[in-house]
Amino acid sequence: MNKKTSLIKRDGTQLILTGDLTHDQVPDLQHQLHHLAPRTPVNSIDLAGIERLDSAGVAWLDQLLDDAFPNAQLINITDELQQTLTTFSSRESSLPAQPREAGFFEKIGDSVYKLRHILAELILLISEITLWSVVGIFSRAGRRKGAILQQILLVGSNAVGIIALLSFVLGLILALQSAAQLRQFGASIYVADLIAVSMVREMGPMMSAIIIAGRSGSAFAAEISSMKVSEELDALRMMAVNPIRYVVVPKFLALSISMPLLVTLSMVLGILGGFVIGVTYLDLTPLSYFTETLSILTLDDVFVGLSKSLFFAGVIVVIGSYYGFRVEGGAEGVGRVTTSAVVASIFAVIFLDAIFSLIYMV
Amino acid sequence: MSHQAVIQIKNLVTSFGEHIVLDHIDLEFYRNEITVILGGSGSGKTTLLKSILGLITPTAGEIKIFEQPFDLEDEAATNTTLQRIGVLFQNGALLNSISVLDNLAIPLEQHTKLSPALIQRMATVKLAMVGLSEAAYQLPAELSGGMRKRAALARAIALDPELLFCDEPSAGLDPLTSADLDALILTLRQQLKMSIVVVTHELASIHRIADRIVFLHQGHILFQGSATEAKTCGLEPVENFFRIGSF
Repeated sequence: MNKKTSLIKRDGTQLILTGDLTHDQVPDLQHQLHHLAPRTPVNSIDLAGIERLDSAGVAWLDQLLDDAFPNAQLINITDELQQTLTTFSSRESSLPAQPREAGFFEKIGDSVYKLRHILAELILLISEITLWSVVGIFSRAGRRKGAILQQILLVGSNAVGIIALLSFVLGLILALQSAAQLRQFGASIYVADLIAVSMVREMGPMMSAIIIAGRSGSAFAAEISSMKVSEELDALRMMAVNPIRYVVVPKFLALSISMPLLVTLSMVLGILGGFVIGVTYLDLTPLSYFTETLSILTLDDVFVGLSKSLFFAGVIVVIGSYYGFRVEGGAEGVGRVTTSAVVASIFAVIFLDAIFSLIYMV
Repeated sequence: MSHQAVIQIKNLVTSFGEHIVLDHIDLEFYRNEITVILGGSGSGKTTLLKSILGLITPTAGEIKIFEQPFDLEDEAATNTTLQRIGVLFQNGALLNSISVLDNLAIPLEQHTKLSPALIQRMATVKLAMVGLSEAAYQLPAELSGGMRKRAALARAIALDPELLFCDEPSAGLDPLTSADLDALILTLRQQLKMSIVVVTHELASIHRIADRIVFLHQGHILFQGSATEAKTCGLEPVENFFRIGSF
């Protein structure tokens, strides 16, 4: 295909082209021209020897006439070549000016304006979700039959395995790390306290929320954004069905029910992980480990952990839905909002956890 | 008009499970001719187009493009053939994350060693040909349906293909935009000496552009000939199509 069939020669102030002037030959012709002293003036370009000409060849000739040899003329042009030259000439075509890039202060102003807009949209979304969740308790209209149960299965039941496994491993790791230190002071029994308090108040809710954000938050964003791209949300609106009530509220209610249960599971499995290390590595008796665990935990700790889980559930649904609704473009847009939803959800969960820690500390 | 075949189809069978969509099709498409494949919904038009392009693997039969078997397993040969083919998809199929100009540059960047300046010149010309110079830096999502179709056509002809496939080019367009697109297809055939295969069931479009009609019915070719001949061919589905579709 790239066999060298086209040549460029120089005869005084004339360039003589022979062979094909097509996209597979033009790069080689450019190379040949480079070795023919291109700075010497050229008055004419002879096309008599040209057998085939395509749009790449025309673009190259135009480039020569515009940039390298502005005084040159094309000569010996057959009717067929002339037609191709006319069809593909780029000398009369031009593009509009490229859009100007915003300046530094414009970008800051734009970001502030967008942030205000985002906050307003988020408040509106939260209000709508809350409203339709409350209304949904009293009325079944505008709600998919069995949607909440289906969502509980999707976001709750199907996450049991991964949350149980990771929480157990987390309990093991925390216990191993703390045991090495506490044993030096003869305080091995306090491993049970450390694991119980950290799993119930902090690690259980946060770990579960991070897993659910990655697993279900991304699914919410992907589902809603795909529905928007394929105009399914518009279709719902046109059927007088509120998309938030129909699509988002079942997810919110399902996660609000599932999340405390998943967090409870995470707490128990985390404590069990610590128990395994306590009994096998620290030589504690099972009874002493559980007695110590129960003595340190209060109902307040459980309340703190479970109340956090409800807030985390809300945050994950709101952020996933928000990014889903604001998708633009096609498949690429869906991918972008899904990624953004996961990152924002995880950030929000950790940030909210920090705020809760401060509140409960005071 | 020469009758050199650019596509030869012999005994093509395409089926989905038990359902046979194309049943022993023998067909040729000729150089510098606009052939319109038409038929009712579910007659196998798009399946025929996708079978030719290798997007659907036929159950049986042989397809030759430019006298070469179109075998997707021979990647090098397939790529060489694909560089001589342009396809206008039904919904444009432009990449939404990049500008219209960048969409046009994709085939040029991938299949030529041309400099960026030359690629920009070529893309600019193709955009001017479809009347979209002003939209060069816009994203496809910012364009109307008709503009997206034209941008997709510009991308399809970026490499000056010898063979152009258009899947429902007029679908979803208003009559004026549809007529503009048809005029553009005629211009491409005349100026670039292209062979063009169009899948459509828009009668106005068929009358404007078709040199030859291939009418598919229940997976078989029921009629081949001009639009004028089709109206009086004596075949009920074909005559009904033209009679009822006229109003």
